[in-house]
Amino acid sequence: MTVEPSQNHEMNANDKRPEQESEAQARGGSLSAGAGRVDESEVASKEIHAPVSSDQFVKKAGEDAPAVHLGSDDCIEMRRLHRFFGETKAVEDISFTVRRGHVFGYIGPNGAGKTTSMRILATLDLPSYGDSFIDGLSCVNDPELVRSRLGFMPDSFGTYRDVNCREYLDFFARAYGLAGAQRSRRLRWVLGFTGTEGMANKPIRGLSKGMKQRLCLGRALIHDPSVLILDEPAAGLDPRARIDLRRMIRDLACQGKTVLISSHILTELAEMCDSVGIIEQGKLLATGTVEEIQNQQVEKNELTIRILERANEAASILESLSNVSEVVVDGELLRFEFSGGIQEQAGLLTTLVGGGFAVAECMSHRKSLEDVFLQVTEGLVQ
Amino acid sequence: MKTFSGGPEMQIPPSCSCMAESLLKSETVPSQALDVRLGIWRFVKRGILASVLAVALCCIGGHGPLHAEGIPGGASHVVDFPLRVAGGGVRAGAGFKTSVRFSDFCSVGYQPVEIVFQVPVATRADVRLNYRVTSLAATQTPDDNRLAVDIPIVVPEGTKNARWVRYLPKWMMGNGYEVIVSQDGRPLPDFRANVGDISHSRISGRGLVWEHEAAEELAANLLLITADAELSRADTQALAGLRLPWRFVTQGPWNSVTRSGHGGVRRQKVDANACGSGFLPSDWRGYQRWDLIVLDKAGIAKIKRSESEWKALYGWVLCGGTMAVWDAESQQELEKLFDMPVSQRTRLSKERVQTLGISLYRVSTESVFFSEEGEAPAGSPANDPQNQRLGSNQAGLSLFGVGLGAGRVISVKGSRDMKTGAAHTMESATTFGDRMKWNFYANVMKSDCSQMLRRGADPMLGNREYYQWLVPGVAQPPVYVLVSLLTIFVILVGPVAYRRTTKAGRANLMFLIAPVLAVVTTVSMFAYAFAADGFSTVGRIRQMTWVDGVTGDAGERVRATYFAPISPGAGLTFPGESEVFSARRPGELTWASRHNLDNEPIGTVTVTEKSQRFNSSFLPSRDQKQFVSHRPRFNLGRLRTKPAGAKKLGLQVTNEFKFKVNDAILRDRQGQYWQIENVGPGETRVAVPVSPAIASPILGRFYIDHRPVVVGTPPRTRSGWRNGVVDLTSELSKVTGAGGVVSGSFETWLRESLQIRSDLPPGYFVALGEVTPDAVAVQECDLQDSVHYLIGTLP
Repeated sequence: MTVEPSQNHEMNANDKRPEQESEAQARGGSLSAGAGRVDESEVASKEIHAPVSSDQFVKKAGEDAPAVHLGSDDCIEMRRLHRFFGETKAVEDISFTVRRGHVFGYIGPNGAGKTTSMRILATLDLPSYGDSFIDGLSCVNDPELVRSRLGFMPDSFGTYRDVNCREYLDFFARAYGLAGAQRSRRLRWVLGFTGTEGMANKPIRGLSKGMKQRLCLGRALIHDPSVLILDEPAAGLDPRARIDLRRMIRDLACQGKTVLISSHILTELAEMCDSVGIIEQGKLLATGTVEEIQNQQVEKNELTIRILERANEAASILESLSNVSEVVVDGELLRFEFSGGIQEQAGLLTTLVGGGFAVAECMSHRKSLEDVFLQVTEGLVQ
Repeated sequence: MKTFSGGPEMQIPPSCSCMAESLLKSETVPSQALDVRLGIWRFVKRGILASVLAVALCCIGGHGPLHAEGIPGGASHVVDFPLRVAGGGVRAGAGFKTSVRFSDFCSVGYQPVEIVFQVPVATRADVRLNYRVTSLAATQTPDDNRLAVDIPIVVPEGTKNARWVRYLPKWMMGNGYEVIVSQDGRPLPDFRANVGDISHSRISGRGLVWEHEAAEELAANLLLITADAELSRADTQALAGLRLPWRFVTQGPWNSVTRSGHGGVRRQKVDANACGSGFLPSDWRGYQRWDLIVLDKAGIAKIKRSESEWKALYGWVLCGGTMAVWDAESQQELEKLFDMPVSQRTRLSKERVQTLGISLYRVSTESVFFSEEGEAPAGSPANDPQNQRLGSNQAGLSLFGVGLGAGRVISVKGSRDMKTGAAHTMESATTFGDRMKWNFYANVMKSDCSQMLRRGADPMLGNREYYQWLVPGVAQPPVYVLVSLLTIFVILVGPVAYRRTTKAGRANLMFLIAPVLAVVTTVSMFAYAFAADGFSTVGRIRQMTWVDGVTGDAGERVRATYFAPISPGAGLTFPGESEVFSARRPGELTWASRHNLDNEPIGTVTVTEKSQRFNSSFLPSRDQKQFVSHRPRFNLGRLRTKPAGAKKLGLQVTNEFKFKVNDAILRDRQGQYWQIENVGPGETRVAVPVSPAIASPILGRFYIDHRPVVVGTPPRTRSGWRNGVVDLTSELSKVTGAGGVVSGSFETWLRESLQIRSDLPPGYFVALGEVTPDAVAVQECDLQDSVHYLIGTLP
């Protein structure tokens, strides 16, 4: 689960159930900055409130927490983010959190506000109001510290045509203040990880699109950031390069890095991401794990049952059930729309088997992320 | 007790306490013997003997306070001058006796000091005394933060007895001091002693001193004020009988302080003190050591009768303190108590709880009923979704509250104890015997218990916020100019001078030309570096004034950064009633390694009734220094509103402040936003209605345009309890669950309201005004990137 509980079951941020709302407010509504995290950390700190001796401090507070990380495991947070360009509301009230080591897919049509919100997260733009946080550090107040923890790969990136890959990465490593053996080590690691070792001494102008993408990913990784923001990294890549990129991103997540990735290739995102957020016209329409979003959006599943005998009789029984509709008999196969969870589905099969029907097979056709995306969004562009 | 109007000077009352104390301490205490005597005194004080003695003497005396009134916690450490000489006699001294009394306050803040002056015959001329109080490095930590404080006193002609209370800035933890008394600028013999908690057991455990004090920062410090000077018998019994994870011990005012435990289900530490209302400090800084002050309506009424005591308590609330009224029965009653417009609410909504700066999470764990704004679901808990969520229709508390400046007054009404099912009645409430309420107060204050976090400044170690408040563009090395000067030098010496002299056959002149040009270049570089930042002090001020719309009183916070090319001789002058802390540049040294440094005091602070003057050592040349100060401001003014136009659809706003309001967003009680610009002092204008969609970006802009931004990359430091604390505020914030917030309650509210939520609660306004001259501590200071935020409620 990547998103906060307060966000998990919401299809629309404005359409909360009262219980959820009260809980969300209770958890996230304190006046302290970092409201969401604040109260989570309050929860976390319940057991560390006997500050009597140094030993207790040592045992309870820990020593390796980042400078201002708040005890919670949220690595990226957008809180009530708004960005207006005149009358245009590019980003409107976006709030979500991503946990450390998770991959979050940011989905939306062109002009939905993905790049704007990612640019704010990358400290390249300021919000009209609201804030975003990396490791608990505000992108508004602490841009320098945020940059040291962040690797950003924009959708269009500049490369210096006449330098080679090693020089290119070395330049950015120096810009991030890496020196000596540490810089050499990072360079070696990045070249190896991105598979550009063989191209290390080749000028950038000779690289293919896929290799340039790898190089740019390497640039974002050179200072070992804890958070990666990738804006359309797979655009224009061939299938093999896309598969490689997907593998690299999963590897990074396994190393504990948090990745926020936007892409139009939804099937890949569904496989790669721990959770996704769907954005359109600057508003976050849905967040949660892919499965949660599918469950939330899909009101009815299409079920197919193979019954070896008396299929028509079974069809008439199914039609009499309130959560079954549009039953089609195709020989031994019965296709129908079923509204209900997995428990109800099991109950239906029990009914059929109990009625003496020889149920040989049952298949559920769930909607893909692409279907859900089409269902959630309306294709509106600002 | 008699108080002179216009100052804290008082006649000495015949004090039983003084008698009791003088029995336990000899009048003159040699510094070496002081440890032992103080040790005995502390031992006795903790025991029964002190209380029995005090009560007995009180009975003999018949009336009068037991302890030095106005010293929060009572005067625990006293030194009497002149000191006794060997053999027990008193050397012929200056012809007067004087005592200096300190409280047992060990943390960072302001140390109350009581000075008593006595002569057998009334003085025939003014006596000019100076009391220098210097923090002792051996007994306070960290060592490089010592202050020397001068208290100049003029004893007027014809005085026999006099008493003064002053509050001294204290930027270290611990409470050992050296006191030197001077007359007419000359130190008096036998008027020099060490005082305070200077026992060597404390010193030998230096590594633990700060951790002990940090633990104090993390405790919820409650103060119970009762209407009676002595706690009533019923109160005492009720408090003793409470089944709390901590306990009250009630034996008398101030000394009835309590110890507390930690433990219990939530492993929470609470320090609970109790005091009668006749013993309260008359300075708001006297309350800074407490996190929550609990009192009843009778207590408030009694305190209100003493203007100085009420101002102190009220000022503390205005500056961000929390007061709890024990026996308020409804929201309306609480509002009436503070002369506020009475609302229709019967209890607070969640939004109002947030507005008051109370952790909603903590409140919600205490089974509190909430109501929607304007609704009145009293008596219908079953209809309350929050209550249903908690699964109880019979138990729970109603929370009431009002905002007073940056602070708040809260109250809870208990209906039934969830655990025992016992109903709570008014009788139990008035005797302070309601366990449920005590647990509520202690728990709700838990995340707000650190004074350091509330004020947002750590004068001991500093934190990375230092880098957010630098004055931009000053004290930068003029790299390009210096490189240019060097280039000109090289060109002049090489191609120009050498070529010309060789052509003229006078190459030997180069032995003269080169050094002369080098000297000229060096002088130019020095001159430029010296003049580049100008000659006047530059300041960056962030002033935040939080106004109570009903009274026009306010709490104020000023964060100021000063840069002086040449250290100003007059130093820095802050108002006498303000609480001033330096916000240090965070360093590499951990706290634990900052002892045995044997540093001289940073500088000298001269504390008078009207001002605190920090000498020029606090602002050395070419170094940016930051200060955070808080103070209450009475009768400051307000934005008065009234409906305008024939249909009364507009809003007329009158600026009653003495400064111009440049831009303001107001939200009236019906929720409508209004904007108004450029209203001079005393001027009235009609505000323009704006929709929330327009108001929100404006509020966001208010913050963004003046946001604190880290300049450059601060050095990375590793702070942790094991490795050594480099950033105490962050560590405290993590442990208290304050979520990394270290900016103080003013700044946090501003950021949350303007930047994150970008809306205002109904009846509030935020305005940008001009920085007022009294917020600037250095004379003739040029201000850069400065802003004055006015936050407040509408009348």
